[in-house]
Amino acid sequence: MSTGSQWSAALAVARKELREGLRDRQTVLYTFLLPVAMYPVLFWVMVQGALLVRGQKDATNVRVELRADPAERETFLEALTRADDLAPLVGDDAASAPGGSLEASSEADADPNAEPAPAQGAAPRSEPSPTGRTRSPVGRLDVDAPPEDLDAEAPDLAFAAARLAADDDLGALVVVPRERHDDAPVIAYHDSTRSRSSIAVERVRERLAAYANEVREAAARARDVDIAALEPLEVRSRDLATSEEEGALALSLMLPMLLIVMAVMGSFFPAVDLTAGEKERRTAETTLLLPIPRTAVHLGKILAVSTSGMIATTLNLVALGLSAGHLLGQLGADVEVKLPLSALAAVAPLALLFVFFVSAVLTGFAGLAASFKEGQALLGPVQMIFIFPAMAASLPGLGLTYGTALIPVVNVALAFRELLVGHAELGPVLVTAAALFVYALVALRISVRILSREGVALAGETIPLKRLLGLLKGDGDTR
Amino acid sequence: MSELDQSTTERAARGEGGVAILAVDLEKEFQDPERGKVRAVRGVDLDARYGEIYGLLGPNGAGKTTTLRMLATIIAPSGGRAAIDGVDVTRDPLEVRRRIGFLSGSTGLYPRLTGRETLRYFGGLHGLEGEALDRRVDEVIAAFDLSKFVEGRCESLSTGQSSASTSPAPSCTTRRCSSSTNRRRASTSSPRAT
Repeated sequence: MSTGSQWSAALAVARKELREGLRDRQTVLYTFLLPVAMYPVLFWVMVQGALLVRGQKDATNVRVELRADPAERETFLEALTRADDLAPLVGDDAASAPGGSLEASSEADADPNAEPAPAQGAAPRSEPSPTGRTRSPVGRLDVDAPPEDLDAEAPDLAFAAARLAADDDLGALVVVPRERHDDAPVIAYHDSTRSRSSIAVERVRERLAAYANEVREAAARARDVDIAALEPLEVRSRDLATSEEEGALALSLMLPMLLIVMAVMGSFFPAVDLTAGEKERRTAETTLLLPIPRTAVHLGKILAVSTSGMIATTLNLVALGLSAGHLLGQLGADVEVKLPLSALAAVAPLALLFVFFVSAVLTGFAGLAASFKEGQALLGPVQMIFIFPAMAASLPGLGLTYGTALIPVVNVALAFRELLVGHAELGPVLVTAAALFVYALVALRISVRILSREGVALAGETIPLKRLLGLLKGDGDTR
Repeated sequence: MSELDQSTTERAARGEGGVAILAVDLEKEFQDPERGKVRAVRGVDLDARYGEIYGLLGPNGAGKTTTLRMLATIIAPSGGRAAIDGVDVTRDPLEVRRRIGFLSGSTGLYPRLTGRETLRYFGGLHGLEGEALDRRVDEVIAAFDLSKFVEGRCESLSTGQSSASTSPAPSCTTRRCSSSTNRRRASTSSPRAT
């Protein structure tokens, strides 16, 4: 056979293979659909996550304590509270306005010379800005400014740690040194493992930087010198978190995502094997002949899938706990990584509920496939409905609230994070557990309904997702 | 298929008159996304008495397997009625499944279980337990001469061994009606009432 003939034959084979391949659902999915759809979906999820984080940060009210000599107190109180123009505005400008609004509530009210300030904890208000626009009532920075003089020594690290530990709502302690003419920096003590504290210190730095810049500009103009010739006001933030707490934070940012991925991966193959795989092995009819209710059959399958998912998740957690400290320690980072048993114990009940939820969803979808291979292809995109929200939830700054506790997947990722750091509030965690329980029950019910359909249980070919709703509505349950 | 009068049907449906398997005007319709409504089985009447071997013959696509699947409660009839051993397949499918044995080309063995595990699984779900289950499994192994390969996984069985192992699975409990299909014999299906 000549070389030309061989090429011609090879091209004929290639055409046939391509024709056949392009009629294969998986090939079409991975060749056309996924490359085209993945990045827009991925970026959309990331942008939505970032917007959610930014929105939540902007809307979070935080409180800081200002420690300064009386002579400096009013100046810094004003610097921290005069940034009203930075408040988000309701209307067209709302999206472009950075930072949150600023209100002062001051213990200096006791000082007859102090400007009256709204009482702390006062209801958020909406009021017209100087430009006539309405100021959003969200995202306040409340400032406590105790009237007493600073001690001979400025509050130190131990004092700050004690203040923040004693008051959970306190985001940061801002200390203005007595002798500022020595260019001693203003120090903002905070705890980086608390999102509220990070927001507070960020807002303080933002406000003081804006104020300092104005002062420098005014001084430069008055002295007719270059602004660079003037020393800026230095604001240092000092993190009170211990290396162990920082390690917990690092784990808490990484682990929720890993836990979710592992729960999904641990359930993925059993879900396919026990449904589509059973059809392929021709044992589906054998199972339908078992002398027990079909609900029990499908529930048993989902329980088996959940067990596999739970084993995979637990083993991953244990392996990670054993190895993370040692391996990350070799990096030389000043971070002590530990995974205490108490944190694992706190995460376990939510993980169990989540794995059950994931297993019910994956098993229901996998039941639509006619073979193991098609089941894998079908669940490939489906698993993204868990992984994308988990990615969004791993963004720093997003916290578990009563609102986020209701968002599937996001809630469990955030709860994992806060439980691992040890900063979880009981209320939102309980709401997360209740929401997960309800979602798991709903997923279980829908999955059992799907798997019970005659058209699904004995399907000779994979059922397209577009027929999913029809399957749920129509008749024809096996019993 | 015989034509049954009303009183005979009623008696047969109650399991009287020696009728083990009864079908009256049995129908099955499927909703096919491309072809619309498909009538796979229409107007099937049959009665098989205890001890009879009943042959159900027809060309490919005639609805033999679908009929047997309805009798075995794998799928639900769209119309008509059927009863096994006096139990209505629509009203009490679970009880029907407890009373029948059913083998077809699509009832495979669980490949990762051993023969003994398969027998214990079926026996357990049929309500046997403890010593009674052990005894029954041993009886079945002896009766079907499975001892040489019952401890191996079903996936390692030859075609002949697999067929031999499939038959006893439904026999783990006492039953009165069984059905098997054999596509190799010119699309012949045969419910057997014993």
